[in-house]
Amino acid sequence: MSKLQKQNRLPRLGACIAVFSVLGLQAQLSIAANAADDAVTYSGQVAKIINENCVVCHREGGIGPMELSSYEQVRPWAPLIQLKVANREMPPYAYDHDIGIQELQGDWRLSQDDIDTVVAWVNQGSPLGNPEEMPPAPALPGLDDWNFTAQFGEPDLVIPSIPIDVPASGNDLWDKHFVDSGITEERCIKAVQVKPRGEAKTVVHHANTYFAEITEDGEVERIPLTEYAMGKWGEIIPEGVCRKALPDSTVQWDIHMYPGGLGSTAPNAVVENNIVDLGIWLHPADYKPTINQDLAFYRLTQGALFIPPHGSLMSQGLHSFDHPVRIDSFQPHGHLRMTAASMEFYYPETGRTELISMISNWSATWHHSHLYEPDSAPLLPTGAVMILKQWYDNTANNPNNPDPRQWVGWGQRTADEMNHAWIAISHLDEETYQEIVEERERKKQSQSGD
Amino acid sequence: MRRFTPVVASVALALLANAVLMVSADAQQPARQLLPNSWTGMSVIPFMEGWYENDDGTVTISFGYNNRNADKVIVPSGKDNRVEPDHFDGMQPNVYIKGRNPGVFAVTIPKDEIVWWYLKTGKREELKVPGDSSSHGYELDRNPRPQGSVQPFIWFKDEPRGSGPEGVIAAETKTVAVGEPLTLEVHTEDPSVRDPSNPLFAKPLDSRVTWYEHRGPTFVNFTEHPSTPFIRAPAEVNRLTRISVLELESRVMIPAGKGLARVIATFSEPGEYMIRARVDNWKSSDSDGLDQCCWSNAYQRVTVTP
Repeated sequence: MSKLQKQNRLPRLGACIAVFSVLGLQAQLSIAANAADDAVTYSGQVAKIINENCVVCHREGGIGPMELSSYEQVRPWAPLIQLKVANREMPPYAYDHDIGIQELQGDWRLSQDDIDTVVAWVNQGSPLGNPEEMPPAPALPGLDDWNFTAQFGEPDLVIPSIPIDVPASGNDLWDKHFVDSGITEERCIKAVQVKPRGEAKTVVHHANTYFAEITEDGEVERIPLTEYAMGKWGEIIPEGVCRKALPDSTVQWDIHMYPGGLGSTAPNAVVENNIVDLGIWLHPADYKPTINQDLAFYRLTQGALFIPPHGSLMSQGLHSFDHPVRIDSFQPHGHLRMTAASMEFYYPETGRTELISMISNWSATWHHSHLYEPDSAPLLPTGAVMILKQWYDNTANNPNNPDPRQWVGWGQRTADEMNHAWIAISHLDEETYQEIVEERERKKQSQSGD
Repeated sequence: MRRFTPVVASVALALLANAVLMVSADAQQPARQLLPNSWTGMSVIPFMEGWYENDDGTVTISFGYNNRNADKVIVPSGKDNRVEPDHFDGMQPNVYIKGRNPGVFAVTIPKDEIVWWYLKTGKREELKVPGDSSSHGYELDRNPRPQGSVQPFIWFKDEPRGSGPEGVIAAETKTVAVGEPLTLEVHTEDPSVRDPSNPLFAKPLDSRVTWYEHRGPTFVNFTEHPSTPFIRAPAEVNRLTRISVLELESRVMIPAGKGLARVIATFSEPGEYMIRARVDNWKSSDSDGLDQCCWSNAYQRVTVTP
């Protein structure tokens, strides 16, 4: 880099729980209530859990298929809520517990205590309890608010894509165009979020942005600014490192749209003036750390991704660096057949393999970028190997599968598959790496001494 | 602070990287356990690319393939390479060049019917793929892409224009003797309307025609015609999509997306052949082979006499 979607569409995904028979699901429940038999009521315990974890989406105008703002709204869905919560399908943040690094920012997972409370409440008949104990309604962000407003205020820059109408059906679309960034001096990015407007949320499969330069011969040279795929929250760049916002640059939008949409709230209709907004929060101009961070695309065995009809597949990719690095975030990417992903480190000097992150219930409707807490972000020494694995299920058992009779290969379409991960990495030198290791050790000793 | 480039891990580990676990849940097919990559003796995988709904109520099914072998493979038409029901058989290739090749032929069927393409490479298991319109996840369309790309037109002299994977088939079968040069010619025009204020489209885009041996008893030798020389530049990787469909030497540039392409074909064995010419506008940022738009096929039958 020089400088710089109709009816009978794909199975409805994500929160499409409304289509299930509640009674049928009740019959399938095999949930062991681990909570004590003490009376659990909506007003006493459950409302707080629902308010803090569910209502943000399950409210009027929200992306959830039903509202869960009151006992009257929640009660009919109680058995289904129990199932989804007990199976850790809701809230929709798939990341395995008790395996690998658990310290994450933007972690939507319920605690086991909260899960047990909801399960016990439903097992006890979902009682209301004392209405006078009802907690106040939650203070919710606006439906169109930026995810990081509470932390960082409004973004310093908002860069919208050029509007486009997305048809109700047909082939996937890729809209690649250029807009001015408005960035006049080199700065470091504090946080970034990509936010499709309105119904665009269900037709935008991905929306990547790049700092781009077009050469005289018409070639496009670009480096990733950020990546968005359906359901992604956003990225926070850790303190002490810099992801550069390049001055006088052009931003290239690369937007993959799926006509008709994907998910329970898919419009199945023409979406006019589809716009995606890019919000960037910047550090002050005098913030000049020496450690560079970047977001890049790490491949698995792209050329060998051929999933047989009614079959399954695992693919993996290995990457190492000629310098130590800190992994700041991990976001596996795939489509409708992908069901799981992991990251491991292999240390050649000891032959030891360490599981860093495991997502065994991955869904294409929620592409979370797992943001490690800075003090827990995994450190990869020089020469150690980052092993990325992704699993695919092309059988009829996969509810997202559009057609298990087909051979599936690599491709950008929603019906094809991908196997890569977007990973944000801080590039260290040996001295800085040692300092971080020693600092973490000091903190550990300090905590154990308390 | 230096900026570093990731390097690939050790060779031993790289071998692991190429290990792909494929397990079939279909009891009719043998298990495929940890098949390491090989460069010979691999199956050609048939793909249904998708389906187009036609105004007359029929649907057109586009098929492609991936040849995982390092070299071209011939799978003779017949029991090892057939489309069923029989009356849809005959347009599938029997010469398979290496790599992923999307939309190499298409069949048009009643909307509620299904076709199957069966393909058995050498002693490998028979692979099959269905073609129908039951899954909207595989629906295609002929509408303009976001930056204006559409399927280019392709036609033979004094014959109707066609477009898309089903393309056109020359009315006349050409005849030539073994070893004699045969000049083939197609006309093309890319009607895509693009925004010239987009710096990528400040001037009209060139399109390309690539010549393929599609059906026949053996390989065909293509040499350039002086009027339309082959593109000498090395094969390009589409920088915007980071994936490329393998580009052959037998490709011709069509300046500004309008003009004809010629090639000289020479045949070493007698028999019935079919040559495919594909015109694409994959230089556009909204057009790519694996995006299923935008290209069009033209097929020329050739009888080669001793």
